Amino acid sequence: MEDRSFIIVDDRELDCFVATKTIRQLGEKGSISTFVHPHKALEYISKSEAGGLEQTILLLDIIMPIMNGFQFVAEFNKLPEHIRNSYYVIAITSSMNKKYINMVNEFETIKGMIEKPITTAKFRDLLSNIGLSAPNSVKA
Amino acid sequence: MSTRVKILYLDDELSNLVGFKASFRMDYMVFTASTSEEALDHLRKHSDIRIIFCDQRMPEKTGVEFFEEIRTEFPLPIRILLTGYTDIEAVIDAINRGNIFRYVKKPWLDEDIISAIEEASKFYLANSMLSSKNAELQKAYNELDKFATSVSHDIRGPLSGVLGGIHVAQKSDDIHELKEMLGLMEKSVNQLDEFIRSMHDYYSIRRGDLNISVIDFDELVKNLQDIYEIYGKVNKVHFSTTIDQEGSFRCDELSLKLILNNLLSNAFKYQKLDSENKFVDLSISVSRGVATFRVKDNGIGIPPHHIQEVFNLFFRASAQAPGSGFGLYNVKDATMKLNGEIQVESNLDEGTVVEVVIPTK
Repeated sequence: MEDRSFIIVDDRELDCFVATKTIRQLGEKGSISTFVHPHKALEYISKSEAGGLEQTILLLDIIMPIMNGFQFVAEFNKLPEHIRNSYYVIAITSSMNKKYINMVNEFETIKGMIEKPITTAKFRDLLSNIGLSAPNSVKA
Repeated sequence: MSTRVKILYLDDELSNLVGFKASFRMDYMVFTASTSEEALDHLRKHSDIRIIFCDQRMPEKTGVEFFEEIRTEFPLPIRILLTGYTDIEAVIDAINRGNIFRYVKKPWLDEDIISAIEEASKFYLANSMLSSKNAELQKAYNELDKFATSVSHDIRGPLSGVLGGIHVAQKSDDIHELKEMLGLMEKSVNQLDEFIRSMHDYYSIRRGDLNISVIDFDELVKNLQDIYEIYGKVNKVHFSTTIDQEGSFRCDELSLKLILNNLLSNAFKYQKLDSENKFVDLSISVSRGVATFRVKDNGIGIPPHHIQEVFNLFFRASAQAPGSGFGLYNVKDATMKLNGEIQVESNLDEGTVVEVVIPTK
């Protein structure tokens, strides 16, 4: 099986960086693309060759200027089904407030939610919750 | 009081209307109507009618019925019924159901009408004061709500970024990676610092008193040049300033600085990164006791559908540079406090002009 790849959409550069490093520390070998502009990520996704077996995990910040995570998902949902099916969308947020949790639950596309800061432990738990497991299953 | 209290009187007997108007038109602005249609017409045209007098016995409907009908469409005016003793049952019932404020018995004594008007007017004012206080409170609540969201995003955000950075750094031995991370962490900390400063500005404008003095524009502009010329050199943005002053100008210097600093920092931040001749121009002109500040740039501009929102608290129209969503809100607040006006004109990809006009104090 091929290595799964990652897309990180977050308007904060540091958070993109931290997420990338955290994913690597879990032993993931696939490609990781980061976007501070959500619309650029959408463009990238819509042009991507999809439909392969490989899964892409999309980490999506909820509160961003211009286009927030929910607006992003609304646009994402307009993409053809075969493209959408190869993504696992995970929301990331700096606040686990009720309002966001409720909104996240309304979107079928969003499969999970992580509170910042992203740590290897949180990320590993999330992957196993959605039925995926991290390559390094031993605790670092 | 400069304007007279507006009063409406509905009665099917013309002689009553004429008599009422003759007695009270000197002290109040009296509108009369002989049918409910006419009365509604007056109410629609004059939303500031404070008190409605109505006769109880009319051919088409009773006064109580009329008041009950208009209550939802016109809840503000105070309703007073004019009636003889024989209708007392209906009146008690109407008062108990909250449809009328009080009743005056017919034939009326002028003193009774005047005292009813004065009481009703006081009641009306107390009510409208209450509703404007309510609106203010609602606004404060809404802002508090935004604050709660913003505290988690704009304060917790950079902090959790730094915390995440620390987690990653603890597991890394790569010195280059560590340095890169330190750089990004520094950015986050600066962002947090800027947010806290702007929050402080927000409160000082809200609560602070104005400190009026004669403004030395040369000194003010020199200070701004010191700050922004270095920034302009590093980022290759040409900064020009002009002052054209006739007569002195008095204002609160701190508020002025806050306005100009925010406008300039926006103009410098939202430049087209790959453009060759980036510029920011500040022009100040004072004439006849009015100062006009104009900040012009040829930067990225504001998308037309966002131009209405740029003054909203925590609104951000671009992710190009870090921002708190406080800047233009604070600018507008400060401008309002100085009785000034602010206007933005912007074309996407061409640039933005912000003009602030403030009268001298």
